[in-house]
Amino acid sequence: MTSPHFQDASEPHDDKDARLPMDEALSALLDGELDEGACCQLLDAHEPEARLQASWLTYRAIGEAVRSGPADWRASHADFLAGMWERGDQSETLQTDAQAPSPIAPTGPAVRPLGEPSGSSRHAANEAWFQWRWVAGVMVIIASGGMGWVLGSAGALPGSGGALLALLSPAGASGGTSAASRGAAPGTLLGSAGAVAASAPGALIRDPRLDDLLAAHRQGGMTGLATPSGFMRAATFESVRSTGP
Amino acid sequence: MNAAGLRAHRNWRACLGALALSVWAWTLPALAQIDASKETVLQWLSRSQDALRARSFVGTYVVSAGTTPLSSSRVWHVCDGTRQVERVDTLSGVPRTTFRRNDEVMIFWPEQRRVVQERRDSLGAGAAQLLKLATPAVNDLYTLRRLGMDRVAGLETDVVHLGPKDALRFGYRVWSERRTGLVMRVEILGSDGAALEQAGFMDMQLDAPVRQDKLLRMMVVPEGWQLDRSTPQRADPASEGWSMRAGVPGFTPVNCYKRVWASGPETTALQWVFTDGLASVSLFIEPFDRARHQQEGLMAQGATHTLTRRMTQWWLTAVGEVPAETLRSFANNLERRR
Repeated sequence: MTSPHFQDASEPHDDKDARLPMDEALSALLDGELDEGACCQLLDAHEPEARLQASWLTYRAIGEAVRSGPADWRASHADFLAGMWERGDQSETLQTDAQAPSPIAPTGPAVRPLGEPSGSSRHAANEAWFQWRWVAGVMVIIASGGMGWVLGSAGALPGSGGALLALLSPAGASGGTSAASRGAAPGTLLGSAGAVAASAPGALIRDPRLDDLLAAHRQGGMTGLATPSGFMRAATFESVRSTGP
Repeated sequence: MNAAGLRAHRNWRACLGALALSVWAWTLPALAQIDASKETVLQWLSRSQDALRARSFVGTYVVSAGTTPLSSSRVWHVCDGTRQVERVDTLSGVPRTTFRRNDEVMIFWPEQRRVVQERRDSLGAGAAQLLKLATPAVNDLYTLRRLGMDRVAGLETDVVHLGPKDALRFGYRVWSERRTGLVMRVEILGSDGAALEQAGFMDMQLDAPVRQDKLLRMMVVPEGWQLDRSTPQRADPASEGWSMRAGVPGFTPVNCYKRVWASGPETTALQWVFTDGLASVSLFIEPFDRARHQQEGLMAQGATHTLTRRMTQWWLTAVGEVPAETLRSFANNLERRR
């Protein structure tokens, strides 16, 4: 935050001395040359700040460009982020394995059957398993911030404001109904480039006011589940809007 | 009874007592599980609401909807039992800090040196009460099933599945902290069980020493910043000439506002809000504008569907975390009375 008005309520420390070797350490981390201890030290020392995000993305882009060409790095970054919620993809396992014994493998079902001992009782905090999970979690937070930063910046280009939505089905058409009833498939909302309005399913609709309506719905919508978390969801999600109020 | 007989009798009673105790101890977890399994959706929701009123925490919150860029924020929350204060700093997108004191919200945009202050009826102490009154049928609309346990952000959580009883709503998978009931992660599920949208804490420091007075002191507009007050005006749909021919099963109207957007082409829209206790639908009705309202249809963003439709001189935009069919039902039942 730019204003001193926004000093942190929980008083986080700001270790400026540790910033100089940060870039080197980050670069080594991406090259797989950072040992576990140094990796933890790096992550301990830094909050997910803009500079760290920028460095992360820069080194990642350089690495990917060297290895596979410039076109691929954003896609692979998205794959990396997708891993964060990968346990959510085991929904079928959740449904069917709730009563079954959980596999021994550390990548077992996301939900432990009732009565099974907790993970904390099975793994010491200093085991490699724990370290990796912890490191991965923090890196995902940093990476998610970085991804949002990059895409947010792209969205801030002049004239790119406004919601851009893919049309599932034009009015009156029956096409797209089944997809819509089970929830739109991922990929129905696109980024903020281009502006097309057409009648075919899959065409893009852009209306700057639609952003306002979606934000108003998130703010004014009432749900028992989201009254606690709904505010956070709205306050977090609205940041997709690139043009401000 | 002689002394030996008395001893034997006592031993026998002691054995019986121990046996009874062990049977009780053995069945206790099972009994607790049965009680927990009898918890209704409404009771479960109340517990999660109460958790927020009694706890303070600091965490990183992440929202993922469809293929939109992942949004993340840092959250501070504190509550003294009656007054909830929160601060949310975005970590992605445009820098922004949002403060909430019950239903009062202040959004700081540092790049523009601008503050937007608004009051939201959907927050604050009255909101939970309104929801309870408006949604007595939530138990008839959703089933609650316990899936097991999991860890989220290092905390032990119970995982429940809130399943819809009809095709007019989505299901939810919710991770709530075991001790407090605090909702740690939510997935909105399509009819095929796939997660359409996910939101939750990536890290969480429960009972963190967050100081309410310090947060409140930050809710002061800095010198030189522009302050805009934006509170939607309450409205009555009937007075505005709108009604529902027939209700959409399970959904109850809870609020209606008149909203004005000054940025861009000035627009006034009526927002009529409905909820079934979990999902929410907003009907935005505004005068038809040939230049802007070009395409009727159905769109999606994660679990949030949007339906646009022309109604003679009016333009309807229906938005909600519900299947498309539900929005169609709303659109088909909305009628102009004058």
